[in-house]
Amino acid sequence: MDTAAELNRFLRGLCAALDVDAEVVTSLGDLGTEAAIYRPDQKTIFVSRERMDFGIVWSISTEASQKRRHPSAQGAIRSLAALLAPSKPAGRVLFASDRGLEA
Amino acid sequence: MKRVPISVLTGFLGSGKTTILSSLLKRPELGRTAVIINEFGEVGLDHQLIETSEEDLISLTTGCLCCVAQGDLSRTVGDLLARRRLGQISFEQIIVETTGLADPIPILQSFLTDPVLAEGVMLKRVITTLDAVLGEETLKRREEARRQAACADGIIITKSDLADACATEQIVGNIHALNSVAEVKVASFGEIDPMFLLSNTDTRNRDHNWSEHSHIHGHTDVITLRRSEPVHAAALPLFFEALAEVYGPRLLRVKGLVQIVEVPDTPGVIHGVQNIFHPLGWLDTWPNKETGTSLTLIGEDLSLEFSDALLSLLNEEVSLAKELNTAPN
Repeated sequence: MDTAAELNRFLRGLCAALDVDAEVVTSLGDLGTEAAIYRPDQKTIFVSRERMDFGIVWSISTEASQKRRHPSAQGAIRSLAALLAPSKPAGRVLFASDRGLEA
Repeated sequence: MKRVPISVLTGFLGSGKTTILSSLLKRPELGRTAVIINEFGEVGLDHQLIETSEEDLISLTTGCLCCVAQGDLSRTVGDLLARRRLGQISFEQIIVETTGLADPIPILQSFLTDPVLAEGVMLKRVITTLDAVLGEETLKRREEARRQAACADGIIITKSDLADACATEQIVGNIHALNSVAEVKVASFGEIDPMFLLSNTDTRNRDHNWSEHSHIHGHTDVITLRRSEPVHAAALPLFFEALAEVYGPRLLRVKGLVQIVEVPDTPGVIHGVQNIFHPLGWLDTWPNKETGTSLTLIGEDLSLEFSDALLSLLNEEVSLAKELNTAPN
């Protein structure tokens, strides 16, 4: 997932999953991949995914907001979902008791 | 104590569930079966239409299992299991026949979350009946029927003797588009091979070796993610959490086999209903000796691109974290 094409695919898919109309443009930066999500309301969201010494760091920002950094895709997804589709209901996973699944 | 296999038989009103069940219960393979029939109304009828051997046990619940009567299912199963433990009755499997209007999702969830059910039974298969004559129209008009078909491991086409061969062929084709991983069988005069209800589900019996997506009938999607390389165990809960985060209640079911990096020779079993996931289970051997991951996601308005890229991305992040943790300082 180091390529711009892969990040583009992921972000386009996320927009589709959230039912958000947007154009995604990605490029390779110095430290990793960068993307801009252009929405019809002209608000642009900037995303970067960089490999640091301690792991992957996602950065999310808009023209009007400070950069938010996330150490995992999960945090980035939550942050992006809040920006892209704030009224969309989000789910929280529950894990059933650990009894092992026989089959 | 070993958990008792439980199968769920669903299908829209009049689709032939009771006829199929009645026919199946006459077969020796389904002897020693406890049957729970869920009917609307205070006076049930379906259970009177089923002829069984003396070895079969019929229990009746009223009210719909998917909404008001989930506790009823738990009590009924709990009672059956308690009597079995005491040696009062004997059975080897349980079949639950739902009402025609039942949403299967809450019922499947209760197998994971209800303490009595989670401890006492293990979900074997979800079978849905679909009428060859009216099924197509029912799928178009009724959300319940679409959810029943989308969540099924196996689909039985009923009343094919009343439909012409083309209509039956067409509905089989449409079901494959709606739920590409369900096994489809056409019943002849209510007769079906009992093994269809009893066999283990292998969602990987397809010719393809790539991720795929099918979409038909409203917004129901079936996505199958395939990987020939093993997946890190730690990536899976992260993957499920992200799916739940993005899809919310639109995600209906996640099932399949995974090949785990840490134990590549042992197939892991994934079983989730909406946002509730069972801890990873294990099979002794790979079905048909075919290793690899095959995960099926069923839901409304799902994105193949997002789901597929998400799994790759999380797997890569976990892999990198492990690499950094084990790297010498």
